[in-house]
Amino acid sequence: MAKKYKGPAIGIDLGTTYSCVAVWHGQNNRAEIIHNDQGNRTTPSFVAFTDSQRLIGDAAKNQAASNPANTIFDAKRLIGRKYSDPVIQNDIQLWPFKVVAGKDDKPEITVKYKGKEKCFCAEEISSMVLTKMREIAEKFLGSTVENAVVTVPAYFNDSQRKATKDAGAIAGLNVIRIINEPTAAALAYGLQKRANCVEERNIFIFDLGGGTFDVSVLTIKNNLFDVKATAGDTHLGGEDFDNRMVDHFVKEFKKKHNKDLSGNPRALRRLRSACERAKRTLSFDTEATIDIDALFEGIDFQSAITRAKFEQLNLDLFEKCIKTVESCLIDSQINKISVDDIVLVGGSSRIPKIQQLLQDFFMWKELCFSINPDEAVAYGAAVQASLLCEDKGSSLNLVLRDVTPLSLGKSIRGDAMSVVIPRNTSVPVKRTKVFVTTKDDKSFMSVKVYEGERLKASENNLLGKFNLSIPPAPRGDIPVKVCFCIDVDGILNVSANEETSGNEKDISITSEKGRLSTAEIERMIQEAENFKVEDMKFMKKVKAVNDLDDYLYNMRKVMKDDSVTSMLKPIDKMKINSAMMKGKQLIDSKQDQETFTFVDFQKELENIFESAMKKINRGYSDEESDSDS
Amino acid sequence: MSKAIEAITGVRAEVDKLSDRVSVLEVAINAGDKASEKEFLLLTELLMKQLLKLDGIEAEGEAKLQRKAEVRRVQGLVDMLDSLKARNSNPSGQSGSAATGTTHWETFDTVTEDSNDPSSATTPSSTKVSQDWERFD
Repeated sequence: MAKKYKGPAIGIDLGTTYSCVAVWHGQNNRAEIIHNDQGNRTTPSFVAFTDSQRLIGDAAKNQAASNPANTIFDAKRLIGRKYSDPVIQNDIQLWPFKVVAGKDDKPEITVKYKGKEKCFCAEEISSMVLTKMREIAEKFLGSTVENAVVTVPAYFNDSQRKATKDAGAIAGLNVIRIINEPTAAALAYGLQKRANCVEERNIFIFDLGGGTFDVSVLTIKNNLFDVKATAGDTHLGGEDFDNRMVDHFVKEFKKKHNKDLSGNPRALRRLRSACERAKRTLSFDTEATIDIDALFEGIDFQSAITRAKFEQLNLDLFEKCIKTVESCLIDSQINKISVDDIVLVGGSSRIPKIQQLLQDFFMWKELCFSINPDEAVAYGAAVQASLLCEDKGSSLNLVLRDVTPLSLGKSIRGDAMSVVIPRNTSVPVKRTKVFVTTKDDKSFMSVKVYEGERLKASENNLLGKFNLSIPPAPRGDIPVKVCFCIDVDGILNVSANEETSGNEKDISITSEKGRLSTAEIERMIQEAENFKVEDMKFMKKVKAVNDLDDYLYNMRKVMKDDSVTSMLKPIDKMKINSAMMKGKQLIDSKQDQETFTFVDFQKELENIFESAMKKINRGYSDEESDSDS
Repeated sequence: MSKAIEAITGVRAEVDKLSDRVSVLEVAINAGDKASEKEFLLLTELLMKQLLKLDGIEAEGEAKLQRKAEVRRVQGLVDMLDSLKARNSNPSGQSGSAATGTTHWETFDTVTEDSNDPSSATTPSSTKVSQDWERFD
C-alpha cells in the first residue's frame, strides 16, 4: 500500500455484457454509482461500427439487431486468450461477428468501419468500453480522470489480467490496480462491516449475472482479504432461465394452437422479451402474465406462469449452482458452518428460489444483498480506488490478495508431480520443500516446474526447468531445498539450493513464459478430474516401480558388502544375482509392464533375499527412502 | 388519458415517422430504384423495437384494443419491408413481386379496419396510415 495517486480515481466493473462505474464520495462516506448519458446505472459492454461512426454502450446495443456483424460484445470472453482455445472456438459459433486468428494465435475481430475492413483485438474493444466509462465519470465529476481500479473475475490468469490492464492503457487510463470481482464485492460489503471485522471472517460471494456464474470464498482478518477458492460456470445466468421459459411457452403455444413458432425469430424475440419481464416479476410476485398480441400468424397469446412453475423449469440449473457452491467450499477447506457472510452479486441472485436454496444450504444464515447486486462490484472497486488515492485520506487500510488458479510443483522420480503450492493458495506465498537425488553420484538435480492438477507431471504444463549441480554422493544423501515463491504481481520464482556446496540456482516465470489461459486452466482441472482413475493407476505403478528400485538398491548395497556375500551359499548368491538382474530389466522396461508385475516380483525378491539372509542369520532392515520428503 | 394509452400514443408517434420512411422506400422501389440492404434492416429493427415496447405495455379494455391495432400496424409495416426487400434483391421476378404486393395489400386492409375505430376518435395519426395505403395502391 505504498503508492498514492493524484486526482480522482474511479472504480470500473468491466463486465461481459454490462459495465458499471463508481466513485468514492468522501463527504457521504460511500461510493456513488454514476449514471450514463441515457440515465442508466450500467452501460452495455458493446461497441458498434457503422459507415459513419463508432458507437459505444447503449447506442451500440440499440442498433445491434440491425447491424449484427459489426456490433461487438463479449470482448471479455476473448481477452487474453488464444484463438485456438476450445472455449473460444465454442463461443465463436454463437457470435454474429467475425473472429479470426491473428498473429501468435491471438483472436482478432473483423468489422466493417466507414466502408473499410478493420481488425481489432479484444483489448482494443475493451479499451473503447473503458473510455466510455471514463467519459461517464468525467462528465459526472466535471474533471478529467486518469486513475482507475478495474475488476476482473478471480479465475483470470496473468495474461488476461495483463490484457485488461493494457485495455486500460489504450483508453488512456492509469490502471492503478486490477482486483478480483468477488474481492470488490466483499470490499463493498466489508466497508459496512468493518467495525466488527477484527476477528477473522469468512465470506462467501455468490455472483450470478446475465451470462456468467462465479462463486468465491474470501476471508478477512485484520483488514487483509484472502481469496481462498473460486469456482463457477462461464455460461450460466439469467439468459438460461429466460430460455427455459421460452421453451415452455413455445410448447404451450403448440398445444393450444397446434402451431410451431420456434422457426420464427421475430416471434421468438417478442416471447423472450416477455419472458424476461415475467422472470423479473416473479422475483417479487408469485405469478406473472404473458400477453402478446398477434404473436404468430395473427394469433394472440395469453398465458400465465407461477413462480413455482418457473422454479420447476429451472430447478436443475439452480441445483447446479448449489453444487458449485459446495465444491468451492471444499476447495477452500472452509466448513459451511464457518461462513460468516453470504454476499449476493449479479441480477439473477434476486431470484427467490436461489436465495432459498442458498439459505437452506448455509442453514438459515442471513444473506447479504443490501448493496444493489448489479452494482456491488463497481462499488467495491471505487472503495479500493479511494484507498489508493492521496486526497481521500481514508482511515481504511485493507490489503487484497489473490489465489493460484492451479497447483504448482516439481516433477520427481517416475514422472510424478510433487505439489509445492496447492491450487487456490493465497498469493503472495513462499513454500519450501526438500528433495533428494534418486541415483548415486549424480552431478546435478533437475528442477522441472509444472502447473496443473494431474498426478503425472508431464501431463501438466511445463513452466520452466534448470539443473542444479551438486557434489557426488550416494542417492538420498544430499538434500536440496527447492523454494517456490509468488510475489504480489503473480510472478513465480523457483530457486534450488544445496547447502554443503552452497550451490544455488533460480528461475523466474512470468505470464509471457507460457502461463495458461483460463480456458486451459478450466480444461486442465476438468481433465485432472476425468483422469483421476487413470492417474491413480499411474501413481500406483510409480510407487511399485520406486519401491522395487529402492529394494534393489538396498540389496545391491548389501551384496557389495564382502562380509555378507562371503557367508552366502553360492546357490543363493546366484539366485539373488539373477533376480536382481531380472528386477533391473523389469524397471528398464517398465512401460510395458503392469503394476502387479512389480509388486509380485518384489515379493518374490524379498522371499529369495530374506530366506538367503536368514540362512546366514543376519537381518537387514530396509531403509525407508523416497525422493520427496 | 390512462397511462397505457399515453404509452401507446407515444409509440404510435414513433411508428408514424417510421411509416413515412417505409413509404419513401416503397416509392423508390416501385420506381425501380435500388436501396441498400442496410436501410431495410435498420427500418425493420426500429419497428421491432416499437413492437417490443408495445408488448411491454400492460393494457386492459380500450387500451388493449389500441395496443393490438398498433401491433398489427407495425407487423404490417415489417411484412411490407420484407416484401420490398425481396423485390429489391430480386427485381427480375416481376410477376412474383406483383403477387406479394397483393398479399400485403390484404394484410394492410385489416390493419386499417382494426385501427380505425379506436384511433379515429383519439388520434388523427391513423388517417395517415390509410393515406400511406392509398399511395401504395
